[in-house]
Amino acid sequence: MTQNLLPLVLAEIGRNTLVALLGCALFGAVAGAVGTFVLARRQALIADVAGHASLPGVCIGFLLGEALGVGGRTPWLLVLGASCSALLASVSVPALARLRGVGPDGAIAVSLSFFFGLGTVLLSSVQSHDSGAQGGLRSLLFGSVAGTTSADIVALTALACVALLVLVTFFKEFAALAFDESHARSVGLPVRRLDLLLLFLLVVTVVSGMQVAGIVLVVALIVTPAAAARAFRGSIARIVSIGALFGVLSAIAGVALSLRFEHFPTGSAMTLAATAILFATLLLRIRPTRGVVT
Amino acid sequence: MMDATRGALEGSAGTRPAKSATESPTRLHAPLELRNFSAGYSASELPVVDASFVLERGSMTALVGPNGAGKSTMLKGILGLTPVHDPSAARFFGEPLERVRGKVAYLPQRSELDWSFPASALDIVAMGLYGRLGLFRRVGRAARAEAREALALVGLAHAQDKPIGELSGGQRQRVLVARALVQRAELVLLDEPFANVDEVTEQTIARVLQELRAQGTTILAVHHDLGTVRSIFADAILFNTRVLAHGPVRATLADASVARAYGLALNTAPDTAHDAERNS
Repeated sequence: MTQNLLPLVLAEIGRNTLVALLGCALFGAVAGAVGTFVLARRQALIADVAGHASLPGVCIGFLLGEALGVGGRTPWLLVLGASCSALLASVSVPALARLRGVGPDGAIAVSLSFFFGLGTVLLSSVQSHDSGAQGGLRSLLFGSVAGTTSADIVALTALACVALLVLVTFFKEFAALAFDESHARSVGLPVRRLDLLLLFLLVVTVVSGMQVAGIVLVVALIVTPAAAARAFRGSIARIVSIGALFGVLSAIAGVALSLRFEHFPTGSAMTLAATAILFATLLLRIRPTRGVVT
Repeated sequence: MMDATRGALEGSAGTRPAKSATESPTRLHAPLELRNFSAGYSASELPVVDASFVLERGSMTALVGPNGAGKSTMLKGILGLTPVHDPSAARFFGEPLERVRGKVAYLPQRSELDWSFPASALDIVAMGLYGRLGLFRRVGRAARAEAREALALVGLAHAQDKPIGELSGGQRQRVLVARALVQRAELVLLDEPFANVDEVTEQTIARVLQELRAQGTTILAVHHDLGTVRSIFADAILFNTRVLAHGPVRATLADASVARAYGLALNTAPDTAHDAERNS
């Protein structure tokens, strides 16, 4: 499917869109790779919280840009705002979970709905702004590659590079943490700091993809390709690489589909592509030696 | 065959290796010394109270006690994995743990780990080298070769590329032992290494531990099976919240009759009674 659509996309689009496509592919790779560790640490729903919670930060970044006179669509302000609110929401989950009778799932629901509710209130405030620059923010929920500026793609690429660097540098530590936290601690790894670093990595990945994948659906690009990769056997490095490859394929297919069919949100298209890959890998899982039940 | 192996192990269990003349200063101290060590999440609920004992170098000791006696909590507390009343109550080679971490290896209960994690057996064994490698350094060719060697020692050379999710319970336990082996530790703390394992695994682990001990490594293992404790271990600590007895395994477990008089059910399941693994 991707091979058929790609020449069409390249024929119809210019250099800017090609750059956007490559940026999205990089985001897809990072998201798919990070996803393996996110799944192993049972943090898939934290990724969802981080995605939804980036909305109020983006809106505050927009309003701040307008107030400072640098323009509401200043990427670094949007990224900063989104990172702060996503990080705040993510660390609020374990704190809320400690409250009697709330528990981890309750904490996730409380945090996600609060930050998203706050975000939608702020978004209506942003949309009533008379600057005309808020157009791109409207498609923030489900993502839009067509609505991004080249500065947005630069921000996306820079964040994806930061995430990739962190992932490559601390790959073995994240693996040790994911498999056996007690052992990691016993050999002297700074477990608490690594846990925070993994959370930072998750937030950076979410914020990197929020404009193209959408804050509601960015979690799908992190979780679904990594889940699909689990149908394969092999070393940690191999499974993470397969997750990254599936992330790239999902992102490219999503961008191509949303450009080909107007009004097709990019994030939705990416999510459908990722899910299609996951379903395709189910065939591998039902082979006797790799069975679903083992 | 099992009896013969046990007999051989029992025969060698009573002797301890002579101390080397060229010992480093830390070796002059006991590998592990507890003085009134207490551990637990709150002061009112301490599963480990005032534990005091000294492990001599090259000793091989079973930590024996009923289910819920606090054996696992003690092991985790010693390693700083659960809150302890006074961290300085545990000394390793005369030092606090932070200074000698490289000399200490820990093997947690198999059932506490996520065996669905996407990794090969070799990946997991190489994790034992992470402490020595330090941050930023990758697992290189030499490290992988070392991990392969350890896997061969536990009879799993053929399974190095196998996903850990496809290993049997006994094979998983041997992978954890191989991970502890590559740490080249001088003190090895194991939590129920013989729980729910097949006969081959039991023999393999017992042999590996005996070989380590022969090289001067000190071993402390939580063990629940009174049927095998005498054949595998030289010493025992009888434990139920407090240290009830410590010494050569036969003498200590003779005290078990005393313990029974106090209502302690000694021949019990491991602390974590269920092993949820599908392949065990």
